[in-house]
Amino acid sequence: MSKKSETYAQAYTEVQKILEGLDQGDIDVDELSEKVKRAAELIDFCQKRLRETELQVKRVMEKLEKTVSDE
Amino acid sequence: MASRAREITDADPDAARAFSVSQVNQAIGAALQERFSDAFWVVGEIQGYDRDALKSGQRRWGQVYFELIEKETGADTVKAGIKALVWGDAHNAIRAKLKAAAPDLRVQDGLQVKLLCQVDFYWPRAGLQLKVLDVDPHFTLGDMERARRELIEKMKAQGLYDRNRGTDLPAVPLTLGLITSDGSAAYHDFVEELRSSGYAFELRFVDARMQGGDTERDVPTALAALSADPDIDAVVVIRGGGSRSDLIWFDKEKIALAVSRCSKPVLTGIGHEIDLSVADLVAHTSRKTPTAVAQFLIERARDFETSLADAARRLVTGVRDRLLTERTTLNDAARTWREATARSVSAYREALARAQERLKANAQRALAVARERWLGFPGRLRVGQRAYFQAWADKLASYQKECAWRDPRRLLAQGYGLIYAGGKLAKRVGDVRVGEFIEARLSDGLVTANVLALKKEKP
Repeated sequence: MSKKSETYAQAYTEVQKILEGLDQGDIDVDELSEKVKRAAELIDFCQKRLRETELQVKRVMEKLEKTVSDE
Repeated sequence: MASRAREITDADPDAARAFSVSQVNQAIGAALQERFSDAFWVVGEIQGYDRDALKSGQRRWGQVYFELIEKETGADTVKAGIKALVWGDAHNAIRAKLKAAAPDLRVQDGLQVKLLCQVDFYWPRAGLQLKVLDVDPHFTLGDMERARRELIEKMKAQGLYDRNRGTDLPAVPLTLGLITSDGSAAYHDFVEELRSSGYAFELRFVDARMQGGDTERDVPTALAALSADPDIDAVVVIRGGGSRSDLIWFDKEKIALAVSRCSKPVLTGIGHEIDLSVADLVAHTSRKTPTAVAQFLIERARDFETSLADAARRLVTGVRDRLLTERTTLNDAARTWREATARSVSAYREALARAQERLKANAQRALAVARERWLGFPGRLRVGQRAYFQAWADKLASYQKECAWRDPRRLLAQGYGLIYAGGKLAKRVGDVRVGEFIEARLSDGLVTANVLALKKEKP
């Protein structure tokens, strides 16, 4: 998994954890607002990452040719 | 011709007789024709056909020149090869026969074939080649199937068959390696499908030949290059629809191994309706077309986006529920407190009321008693008036008598005395000290005396 998707997956896992805590009443009222703020930020991060840019195509042809000539 | 061939081979080497080139060539031709008069079946792999077939349309007889080769067992090196030619009519018949056996099967490089051939010798140039007359399509199909099965078994035995499926495909693979032929329909279909989704996909594209012998070189090289890129989530290998024989490359060990060993999940869309190639079978995920692969990726992104929206909703309702619970708890506590207070207040109030009640009752009773007493008094007074006052008068007289009796002056007159020490009446020996002046009151005056001695008597 790439580093980008790793942070992505981590963010999502953290959101799930907070939601679980919320459902089970594990989160203290005192830390509620902090946790909710964090979860909202993470969701926002994931959503933005999904839509942040248009499709990009980079050619790595040069890289391949180099690899071929090395062989 | 036959006699001419014998003429040369039977000749005396010592004789000073020589042959012309044409005589030699024709003699060889005659010998070959005699020895190889009948057609026979040859099994081999087609090579050099693809390029030459393009020119066949310009030739008068539509012939195609190529080569039949045999490879070393289990290796890629050529053990033997022979030139071959197929005339236009036979070529068409062979293509039709292959198509009849399997709609997408066609003659091409790399294909294992069983061909009916005749030895053909073009004597002016001593050109030896096989003239192809017919094909056995069942051999080709069978061979493809057998080679495929063997490769699958081998990969299973080596633990490579499911290896790529064991790689981790992220929830949203946004950064993708793309291997396909530049400018192909597959490339456009795939890229356009992803672009129209609006998701932030990023493609690292490697141009590779997707048909012909170069496929076997390009695809593994591209896979190896993308496999090493740390930013990539998955590698996509796609090509447009092609014939089954085009797909032989994706049944080749080199490509199948490269797919299996790729460190990233490999997604294939190499376009075949009926069979899956070995590359498809060992890939992480396989779809029939490039568009289907793109849709798979978009679907994944959309699912993820939905689950994000769900998470956001759950967060909002979760917080609301949580706060509601807290408020309810507080309200409950407040109500309990209020109720408890109200209960104790009313208990006090009741007790107070009871006390008032009792007080009132007692007071009334006391009043009633008093009233009874005071109302009855005048009557009683009238009835026992005389006796009552007589009793009081008697009591008074006896008090007076007692008072007179207890008058100290009377006692002093009878001879008793009162002794004062230091101004205080002395009743005991202990009240007086030796040498002290004391006063003794008698009936008619005072006597002052000095105490000489004290003697206490036991009572």
